[in-house]
Amino acid sequence: MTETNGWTTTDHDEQVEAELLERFWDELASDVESPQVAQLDPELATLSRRLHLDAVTDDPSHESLARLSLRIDAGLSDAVNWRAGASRPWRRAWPLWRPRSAAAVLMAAALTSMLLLAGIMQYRGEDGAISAAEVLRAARAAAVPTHEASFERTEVDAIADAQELATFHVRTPHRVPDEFAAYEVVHQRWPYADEEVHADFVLVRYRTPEGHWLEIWQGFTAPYLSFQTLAPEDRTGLLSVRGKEAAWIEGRPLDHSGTWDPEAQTTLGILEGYEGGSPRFTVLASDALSVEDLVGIAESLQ
Amino acid sequence: MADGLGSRSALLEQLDDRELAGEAVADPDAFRLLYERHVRTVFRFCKRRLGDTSAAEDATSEVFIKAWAGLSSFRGGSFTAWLIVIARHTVADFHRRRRPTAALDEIREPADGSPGPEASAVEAGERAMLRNALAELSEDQRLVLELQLAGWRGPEIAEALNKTPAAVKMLRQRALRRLRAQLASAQGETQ
Repeated sequence: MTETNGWTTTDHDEQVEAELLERFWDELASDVESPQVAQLDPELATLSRRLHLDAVTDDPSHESLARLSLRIDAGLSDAVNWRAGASRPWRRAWPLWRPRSAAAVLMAAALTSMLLLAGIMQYRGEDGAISAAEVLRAARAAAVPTHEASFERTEVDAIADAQELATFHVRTPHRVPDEFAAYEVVHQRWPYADEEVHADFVLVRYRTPEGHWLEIWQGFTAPYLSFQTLAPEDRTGLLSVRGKEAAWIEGRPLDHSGTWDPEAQTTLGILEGYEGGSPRFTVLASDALSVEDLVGIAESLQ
Repeated sequence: MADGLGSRSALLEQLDDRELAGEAVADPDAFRLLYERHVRTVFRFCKRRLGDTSAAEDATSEVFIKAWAGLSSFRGGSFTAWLIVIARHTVADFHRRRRPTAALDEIREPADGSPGPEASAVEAGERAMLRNALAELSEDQRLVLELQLAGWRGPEIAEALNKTPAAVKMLRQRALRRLRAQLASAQGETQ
């Protein structure tokens, strides 16, 4: 038997009280503002109501959901690529889709309009291969209203042109190794209805004649950094670049069993700060450069 | 075109979590649907344990990336329970890694009509006291309350935690009594 504030409980009382609380919480969950459950300890009722009201503040805002959606899409895109075993981001192959999934996508693609075909062509890599995920993404972009969520993707000729589209200051790297030539510049934005929400980033890709690559992502997304949590401890760490906290990662998961491939790529992610509550990153990734190389390029960003 | 994708999408929506998880191993669309079903629950769970929005967003996205990466290790049972296990580990990692800084969006200026700085401070203090008291509960008691506060009903919690509905009711009742006692003690210390 226990006694608290005049209320005495036995095992039987506890069971009765547990049932009363079940009813009380069910009513709270049904948006009943002040449930009346007779015989329930009023202090427990008050505490339950207070917890319930406090929990309302834990609901994600529209802005949070928009930012999360952006990150998840970037993460999924990333994961699709490494599952497919793609060694370069622009050289995509059909991923490990089941035949019927692939068939559904192919059928959908075959029935598409010229508008959709134009959309898919935007995603075609240099060797002509495109992933199923890209087909789906392109299909969505062309076939459904933008509020059904798909990146707005704009290819531009130069970083300066991307600046006109971006909601943040886009920096230009001034120390990219000579063998790397600019390959493409793309601005992408999540079509969130509230223009005040930061949901865009600029991707600049470089490549060497041998096919090695360097990517620089700037803006409100952190692709590749999701792998930091999966990296072995000796393959990731923190350092400071231009006075900002930066995380480096050597390698990426080889497959979804978690096997780590330390040679796959090197990534450096810098948290530039927050704008309107949104974290803004600069992320550099390459399959040929070291952490030190990437730090050098990051320090040359102006 | 739209019909082709639409029917695939409609088909996926009819699947339960376990079936969707099976599809999601090879289909990002299926995983997207799982994400949409559970993102609010995972976010609320992370927010309650971490205390600020920014960290909760980081943790939530990490939970789903880990879930996506580890789908092949999902062996059936409750998908939500599996997700919560990942969330618990992720939040624990965050506590180990985080530094004691306030998230920027937690210290923004109050909007018109909201409590002033002093009232906000009192409210924040009470909320912190509540979170500290929750942290003192046993893991099972805390989980039951947190899942309840994330919007789950008793039977759902029982399935996710592999317990009987009666056991969940008792855990909640004891959690609330213990919480009340801890809050009374904490308030006594501050007076």
